[in-house]
Amino acid sequence: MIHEPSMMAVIIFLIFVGITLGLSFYLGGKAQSSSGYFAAHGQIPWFVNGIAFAGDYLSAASFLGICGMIAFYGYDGFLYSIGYLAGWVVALFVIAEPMKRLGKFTFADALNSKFQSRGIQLAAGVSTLAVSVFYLIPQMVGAGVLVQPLLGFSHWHGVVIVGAVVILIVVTAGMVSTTWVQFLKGSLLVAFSLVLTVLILQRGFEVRTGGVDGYSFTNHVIAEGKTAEQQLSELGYIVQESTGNWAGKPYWQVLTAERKRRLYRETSTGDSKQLMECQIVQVLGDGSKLINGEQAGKVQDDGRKVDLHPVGFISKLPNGQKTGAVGPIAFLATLNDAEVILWGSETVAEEDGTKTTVYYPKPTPGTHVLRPGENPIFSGIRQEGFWPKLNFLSLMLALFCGTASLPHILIRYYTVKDASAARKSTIVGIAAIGFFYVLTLYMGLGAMTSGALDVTNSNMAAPLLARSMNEWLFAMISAIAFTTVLGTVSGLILASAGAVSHDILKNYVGLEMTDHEQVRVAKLASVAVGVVAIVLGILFEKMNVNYLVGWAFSVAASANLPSLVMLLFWKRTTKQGIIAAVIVGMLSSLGWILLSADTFAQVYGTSRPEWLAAVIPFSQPGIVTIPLSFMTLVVVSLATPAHRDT
Amino acid sequence: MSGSKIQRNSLMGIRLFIFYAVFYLAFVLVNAFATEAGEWQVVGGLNLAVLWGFALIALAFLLAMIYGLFCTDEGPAPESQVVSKSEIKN
Repeated sequence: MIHEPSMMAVIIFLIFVGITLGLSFYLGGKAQSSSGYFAAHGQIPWFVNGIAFAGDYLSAASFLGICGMIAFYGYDGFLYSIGYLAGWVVALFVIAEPMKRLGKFTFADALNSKFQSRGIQLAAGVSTLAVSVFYLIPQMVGAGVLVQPLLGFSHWHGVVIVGAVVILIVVTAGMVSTTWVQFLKGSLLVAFSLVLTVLILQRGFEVRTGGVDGYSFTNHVIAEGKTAEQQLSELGYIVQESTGNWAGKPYWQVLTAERKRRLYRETSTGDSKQLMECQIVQVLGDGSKLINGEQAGKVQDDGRKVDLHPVGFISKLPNGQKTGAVGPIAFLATLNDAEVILWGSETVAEEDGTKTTVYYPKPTPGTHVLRPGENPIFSGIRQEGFWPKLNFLSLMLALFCGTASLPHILIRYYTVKDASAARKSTIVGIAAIGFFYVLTLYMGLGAMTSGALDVTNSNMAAPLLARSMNEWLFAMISAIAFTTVLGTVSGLILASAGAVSHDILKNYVGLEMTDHEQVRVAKLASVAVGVVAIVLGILFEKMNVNYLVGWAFSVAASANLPSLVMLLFWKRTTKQGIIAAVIVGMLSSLGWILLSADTFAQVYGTSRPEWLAAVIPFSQPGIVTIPLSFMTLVVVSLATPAHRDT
Repeated sequence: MSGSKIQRNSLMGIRLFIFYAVFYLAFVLVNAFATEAGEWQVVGGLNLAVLWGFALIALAFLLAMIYGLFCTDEGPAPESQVVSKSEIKN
């Protein structure tokens, strides 16, 4: 039910891809020179570039990740929206105009404008590659996540399809077509998000006991003086004994009168205790999969396949059972006074090799949904102790500083004609991106209460919300989400190709190339980076998209921003200082991330050595590595001869 | 673009940046060290966390518009300062 492939989604997706490729071939003739390929000859109108900024920036993480995080945890996802947008203030007020004045094709050009140093070209080129590749991984993973349920393909099919299309786009027309693809994608994303938000407000809220498939979850209040087991037996269930790793857990496995298996979780709600129905996925020792006790995918009497039931609903409203249409303020005020059923999960491994994942309901007051600290990433701010709070500050700092350091964003300043156009396009970008981020709160909360959520996959919240409205909207939103990935990946591959061909091969290695040869090398580099992205997208399938984006922001903010800012505002900056700051910022942030507790738990799957906890007490590096990069630049610059302008 | 125009725009940008950064820093610090304050119902059933978040987005746009309106236009771009490969030294 949740993920039946949609023919309409496939058709609209193919139309989108066709238009995108058609545009690329049509505009291919305008990108014969390196100036055309890397910077669209600096002839993109500022308004188009501004919307293209939105297209570049609103990646899979912004659209799928933030909506999903809000849908699953509430306000915390909105913290990402706020941080991501705040970063544009740095871009506009500090970086935009100098970037246009100083550079030509790449971020390294701007850093090197005063020094003509091969070392800066190499350091900045490598840093651009590192950040771009880290940013590419979540986009490719996002592509796989989308294709899997929507088109019925496997994850790697999705990654390969998106990778191949993007390589075609970048190789055929470079920055010209990429810009117009971004413009289209940015416009469509904001427009359809607005449509979705209006429909959410029109629908309002309704008290329900289950999702859009019509299944009603059962809950039983445990009468005073009775145990859970007694209560279940009185209701006619056959209660099964909790043995092995189930012993001591708050779960009760029962058989219904129809011999169907159910699992209840004992939950305290206020003064009373309740038994709330859970959903279970069991992977048996032989690899077969059971969902709620039945073979996954088996066709049932009603023609539906066995799957998890969609979730996400309101269990209590302040006034009545239904609100009808609400305004944007009344929407938030009503939710604040309501109770929502969120879902948690827990995995229980059994001795026979069976692995059971339990998805259990969590009745949550609306006040908790609209406050920070419910998501595990941010829950530290509600705990005692200094380190969790510092971890939060560090992430918010990286989001603030990271935007203006992302290579694929920085190169967009070279596509307009002058500094004034760079400024105006950034303002347009802020308007479009800010408006979209306001909508993310409504889309996320709308998905949370839509009855359409897939409890196993937060990334699908926005498309499934659209499906709960109508199939056509679902197809459009899914196709836009694909184009979102296409657009962002195109920009990242172009930034990487520029770093390889222009910064490293031409300016560092000293490879003699004509203008056309440089474009050819960049296209070859695009293919190589595209293939690497495809491979990494397949390898990192299981990793959280937002987590990976956090890596990219931290590395970008630590490696790139300090050098750029100091070059602009401190005359004593030397080339050695810049090289040292880029290298120290990049390596320290990467090292911190790779040795953090989160990476050990989520990537390596092992426990971290005790001594590392003393060295790296929290996971987000920015609050340490950004100042470290600034300090390195100052110390090395003061220790080396001042640069003399010639 | 003349140096004085660049300086004037840059100074305005820095001032607006500092103004916004203070507002953002206060938001982050309140969330980190006075987390319960975010639940305070300010007006119309909206809590402080939601209102401050919207305000940060609206303020970014407002300051961007102010910057755009009061910045001096600089005319055509100067020749790029990027040097060719032959000029690049070790």
